[in-house]
Amino acid sequence: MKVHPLKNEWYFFSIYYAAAQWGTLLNKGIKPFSENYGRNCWSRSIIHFGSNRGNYIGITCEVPNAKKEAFLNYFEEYFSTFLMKYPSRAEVNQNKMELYMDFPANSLCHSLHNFLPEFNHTFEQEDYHTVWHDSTTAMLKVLGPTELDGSDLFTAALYLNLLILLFNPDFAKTYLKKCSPKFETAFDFPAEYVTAFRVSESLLLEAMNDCKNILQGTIIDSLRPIADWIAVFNNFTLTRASYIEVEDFKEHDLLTNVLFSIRQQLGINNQTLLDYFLYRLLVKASY
Amino acid sequence: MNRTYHLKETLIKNIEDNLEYEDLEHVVLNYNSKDDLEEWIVENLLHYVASGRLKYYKTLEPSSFNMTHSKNMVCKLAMGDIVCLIDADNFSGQGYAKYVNEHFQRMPVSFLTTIGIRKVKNPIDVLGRVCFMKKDFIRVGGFDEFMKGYGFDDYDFVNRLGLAGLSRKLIASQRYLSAISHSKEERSENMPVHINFQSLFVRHILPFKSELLFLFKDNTFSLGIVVNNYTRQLMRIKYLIKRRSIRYSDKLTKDDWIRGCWSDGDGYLQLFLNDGRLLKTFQFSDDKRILSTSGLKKYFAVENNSTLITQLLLFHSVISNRNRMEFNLRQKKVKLNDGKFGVGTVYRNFETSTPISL
Repeated sequence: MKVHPLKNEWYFFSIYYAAAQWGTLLNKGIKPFSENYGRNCWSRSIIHFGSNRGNYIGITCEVPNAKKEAFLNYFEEYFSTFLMKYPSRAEVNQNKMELYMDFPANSLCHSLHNFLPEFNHTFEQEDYHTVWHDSTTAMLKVLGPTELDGSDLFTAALYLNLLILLFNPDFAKTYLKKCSPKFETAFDFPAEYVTAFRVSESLLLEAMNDCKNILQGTIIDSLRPIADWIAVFNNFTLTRASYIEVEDFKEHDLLTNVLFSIRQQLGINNQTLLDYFLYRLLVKASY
Repeated sequence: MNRTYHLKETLIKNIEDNLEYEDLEHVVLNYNSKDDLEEWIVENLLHYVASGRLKYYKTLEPSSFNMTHSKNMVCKLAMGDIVCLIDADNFSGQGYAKYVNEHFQRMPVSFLTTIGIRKVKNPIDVLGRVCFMKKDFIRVGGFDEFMKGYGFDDYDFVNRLGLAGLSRKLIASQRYLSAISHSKEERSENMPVHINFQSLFVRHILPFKSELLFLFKDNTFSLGIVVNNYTRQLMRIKYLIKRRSIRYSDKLTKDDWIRGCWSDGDGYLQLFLNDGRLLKTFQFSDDKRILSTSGLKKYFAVENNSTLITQLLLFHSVISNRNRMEFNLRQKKVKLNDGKFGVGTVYRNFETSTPISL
């Protein structure tokens, strides 16, 4: 067989920046780049947040090979200039006991965090990649123009996970069954999670209420961005429901993949806490 | 050394798999092992010792394992025209001796190896396997005894055989290349650096560059700057445009570690080079977990991370040998050791009244 060079290639970048100032990087750096240049150059792009070897925002983008060199040169120039103009404050290296240090704030690297969710099935992987591109577009509208903090991302993950579960009751029941041994019977379950739930209970119940309203179609303006965001995933999973007839397709596996990839996209470290909140909310709602 | 548990699985099988080949001896060198090697041989292999099929020697001198020296000793003790080195954890496979003989009948000016020129395709467990004419071993001066630690001694040896004009032939058949798998940690646990290790300090310089200070119980130290080539490339977007291939992920910035002796006192640590010159002075933090220089460089003790420590001790061994191999190759060195290799005193079989000087 003959070798055909790929038309497009995926590139992965990480911009190390203090987490408390991610809003600045997003709104003054990434969004303008995306709107003024990126869109004309890349076919798709996915943004994610992370904390591996330092706090960073990751940009995954698909670029045609014909534009590769120009894009990469401009990307480096643009973000190097941005980091000089809007440097974030330094962050403490958390990695003292490791061989190499964290990446310092205001540094740029590639190919370290290859965030590109995949789900192995007969439907085109390309469609799934497009979902995450659309998720990014929706996410940027949700996150808004202000500075972010970890709780904003955690809240977004909570809303989306809850919406996925409420939209798919059978899946929610399976999810609860998996969580139950961890949260009901484990002796070493951390007490601070129980405290955290109690302290946040009113906000969590408000979130539950918001999600129910979204599902029922009663969407107030402030919830529109989240509603649009979850629609990206619901539309995708709904259209794939027809694949249930195909033997190897497991709808719950797809939903699990979506659930956890959302958490990865939002850089959620404490997944157990998120699971605990979801579990308690669903149990309260008698699932 | 101390690998009788492997030999118990392989040696009898290797002898029996090659019994049909008449002019063959299996030479086992007990490199001052502290396990039950001798007892096991007495109990299980006396008939082979009596017939001359198995030649058992021991040396009582080494306090720790020296790969190149031990290989040189055992090769010097081998009396045949062709020497086949087989690690204790390797199975020769049935008819190996016949296969080797047939090869050297066809190609006498060659050697057999599991290490390819460009790419190593064989698993690490069998990379020590090599067969050569005894006279060629003597011609190149054996294994390079500058290499004290683990790794790359076999690469260097076959490189020099190649530079000596011998053709490299890969041992192709998997039937001769079976081995007991084990971890890198197991490979290196008898090495001096492991036995002698006291503490490790790390100074972070860049995300891909750190300085390591190893302190050993015998008051020696090793100091060096390590670079991770992959991470360095990750910080340069231009490598996405033109990718550079990387041969080794980690390297020392110099050819070898800076070595010398250390001494400590009340709240300080000093490093001295081998010629007696003072290299550095550090202040200890109160808890002795941080070393600081007058230039405010900080070195943190690596603790509670035995995996990292083991990996770095292995790296400590491997990198010196690797750099030496590269040096020998660049300099096109063929013969090494200045004629002095595999030197020591051994005893045949189970008595110690008749020393044999090598």
